[in-house]
Amino acid sequence: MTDPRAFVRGLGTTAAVLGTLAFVVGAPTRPQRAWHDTVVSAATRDALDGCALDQGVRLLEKSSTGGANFKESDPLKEASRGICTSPANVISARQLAQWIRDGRPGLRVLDLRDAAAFETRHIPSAESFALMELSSVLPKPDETLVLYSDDDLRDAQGAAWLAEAGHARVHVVRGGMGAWMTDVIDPVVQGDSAATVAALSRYFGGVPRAATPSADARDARAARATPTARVRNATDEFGFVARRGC
Amino acid sequence: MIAPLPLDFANGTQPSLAGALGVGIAFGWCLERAGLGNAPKLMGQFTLRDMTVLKVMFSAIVTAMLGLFWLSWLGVIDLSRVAVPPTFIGPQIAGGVVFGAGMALAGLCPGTSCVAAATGRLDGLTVAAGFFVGVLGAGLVVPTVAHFYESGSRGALALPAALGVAQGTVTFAVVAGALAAFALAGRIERAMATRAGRVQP
Amino acid sequence: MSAREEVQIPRLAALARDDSRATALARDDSRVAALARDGERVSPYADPYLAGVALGLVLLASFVIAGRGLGASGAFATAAATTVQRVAPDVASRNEFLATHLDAGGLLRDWLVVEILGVVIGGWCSAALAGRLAVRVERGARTTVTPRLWAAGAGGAIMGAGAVLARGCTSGQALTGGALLSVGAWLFIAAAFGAAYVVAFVTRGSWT
Repeated sequence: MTDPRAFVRGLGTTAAVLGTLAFVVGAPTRPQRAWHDTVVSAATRDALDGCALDQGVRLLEKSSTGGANFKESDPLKEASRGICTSPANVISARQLAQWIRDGRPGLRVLDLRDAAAFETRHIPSAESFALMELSSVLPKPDETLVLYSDDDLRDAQGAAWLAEAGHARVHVVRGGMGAWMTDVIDPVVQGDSAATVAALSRYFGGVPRAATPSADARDARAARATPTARVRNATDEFGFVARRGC
Repeated sequence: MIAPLPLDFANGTQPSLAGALGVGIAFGWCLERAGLGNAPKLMGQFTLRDMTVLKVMFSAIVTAMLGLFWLSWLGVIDLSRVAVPPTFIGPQIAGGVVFGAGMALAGLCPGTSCVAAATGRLDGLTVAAGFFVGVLGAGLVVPTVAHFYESGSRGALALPAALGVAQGTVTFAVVAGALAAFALAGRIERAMATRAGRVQP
Repeated sequence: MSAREEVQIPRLAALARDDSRATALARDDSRVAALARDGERVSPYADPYLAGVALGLVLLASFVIAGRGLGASGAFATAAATTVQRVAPDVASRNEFLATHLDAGGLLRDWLVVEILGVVIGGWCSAALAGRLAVRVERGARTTVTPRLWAAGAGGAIMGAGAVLARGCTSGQALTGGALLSVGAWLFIAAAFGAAYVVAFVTRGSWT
C-alpha cells in the first residue's frame, strides 16, 4: 500500500507541472487543423470576413460532423458577401414586429434554429426550418421572406441561398432571437418613440420598461436580457438546454 | 468535441437526472469522507485549528480547473458550452459577507448541512431547515431591492478576461497560490497544535 | 477510558507520520474520541487533499456530463419557489426571483434537486460504511444543545439570505465558479471567508 503522504506529494507535483505548462501554453485551445483548410477555402474565408468568420467556421464544422453534405460553393461566396455588406437586406427586430402586427402581405417568417429552441419560444407566425430544408421553399412573386436564428450566420447563409435560388425579397433580422427578446419583448423605452415601442411590445405580450437615468439601468437590462435571468430551460444554438441556478 | 454531452442530456430528461443523481452521490460521499459534515471540524478552519476546509476546497478547485483547461486543450470539452454562473459584483460581495457570517454562526454550509442531516446530525437538519426558511424569506423580499440585486452585472465574466491575461496565466497563478496556501496551512496547524499542548514542539 | 478507546487513539496516531502527526491529532482526536466513547467502531476521516482531489474530479465529471457544475442553494430555492406556488400561486408568479426558480416539470425534474438528493444518499452511504452514523447534535465541548440549535437555525436563515443575494453558495459559487474562474465567484469566496473568520473569532468559545 503506497504511503498516502507520498501520493499527496505526487499530486501536488503533478498540479504544479500542469499549472506551469498551462502558463506556457496560454490558451486552452489548439489552432484549427486540416478539416478547416479542406472545407473553407481562402476565398470563402475572405468572403465571410464581414460575417463573423469564427462563427461561420464553427457552423461549417457542425455541418460536416453532422454528416450533412455541405458544399463549399460559389453561392455562399458571392451571395453571402452581398448579404453581409448590404444593409437593405438586414432589418431590425422591431421592423419585423411592425410588419407582423400590420399584417404585411406575403410575409413569411422562417426560424432557422433547431426544433427544441423553436418549441421553447419563437417569433409569432414563424415557421421552423432547418438550414438544409430551405431549398424546398419555392420563389413566389409577392412574397417577403424574413429569416432569423441565434447566431447571425445561419440566417445570412440561408438568405444567401434563397437569393441565389431566385427569391426577390429576402431579409435577415439583425441579432436574431436575442434582438427580438431585447428590443420587442423586453424593451427599455425612452424618448419620443417610447409610446410606439411600448405599444408594439405589449401587442406581443411583452413587458416594456422605462429607462432609469443611471448606469445601473444598463446593468439591470443586461441582467434581464441574459437567458440566465429570465427564461428557464431556454435552448441555445446547439440545442443544449441552458441550466440556470446554482 | 464530445463534451459536454449533447441533446440526450438536455435538462429534465432521464439521462440528465441520472447524471445529476450520480454526481450528487459522489459529491455527498466526498464531503462526508473529508469530515465536512461535522460542524466543529468545519469550524476548525475559522478558528485556525483544522485547515481541512481550505485543503479540500482548493484541491477541488485546482483539480477541476486544471481538468477543464487540459480537456479543452485536448479538444475533449467545449468550454463555451459550459454554463458559467453570471457575475453581479455588488450583490455577490454583499451576499458573500452575509453568507459567511451565517455559516460561521451555523457551522455548516447548505451542501454540508445536507450531508450532516443524512448522517443523523440534528444540527445539520436544523441548518438545512433554517436555510430553506432564509431562502424563502429572502426570495419574497428581494424584489424590493431589485435595483441593487441586479447591479454590477457583468455576465459570464472570467478572471482572464477581466484581468486581460491568458487563461493559462490565471490557472498557473491559482495553482501556485493554492500550493502556497497548503504549505502555510500545514504550518498554522502545527503551530496551533503546539500552542494547545497537544504535541511536543 | 474504556479499553476500546485506548485502542482507537493510538491507532490513529500510528496512521500519521512525522510532521503530519500533529495535524492528524489536531484534526481527529476529539471527534473520534467522542464517537469512540459511545462504543462505536469508527474510521478516521480521509486525507483532506485526497478528498479534495476526488471532489474536484466529481466536479469535472459534472462539467463533462452535464455542462454545469455542482450546487446546493439552487435546490432549496426551487423548493421554496414550489412551496410558495402551491400556497399562493399569484405571489410566486409575480415575484421575479421565485418565478425564475420554478421548474416547468415539477420539483423532481430539477437537476439541482435530484443532485441534492444524491448528496444525501452519498453522505449516508459514506457514513454508514465508516461507522459514523449517529443521531446527535454536534457542538463544541462547552456548548449545550439548545443554544447550538438556535445558532444553527439562525445561521441557516442568514445563509439563505446571503445565498439569494449572491446567487449561490459555497458549492455553486465557490467550487463551481471558482473552478471556472468566474470573477463574481472569487469575490464571493473572499467575502464569505473574510466574514466567517470575523464571526468565528467573535464566537470562538463556542466551538472548542
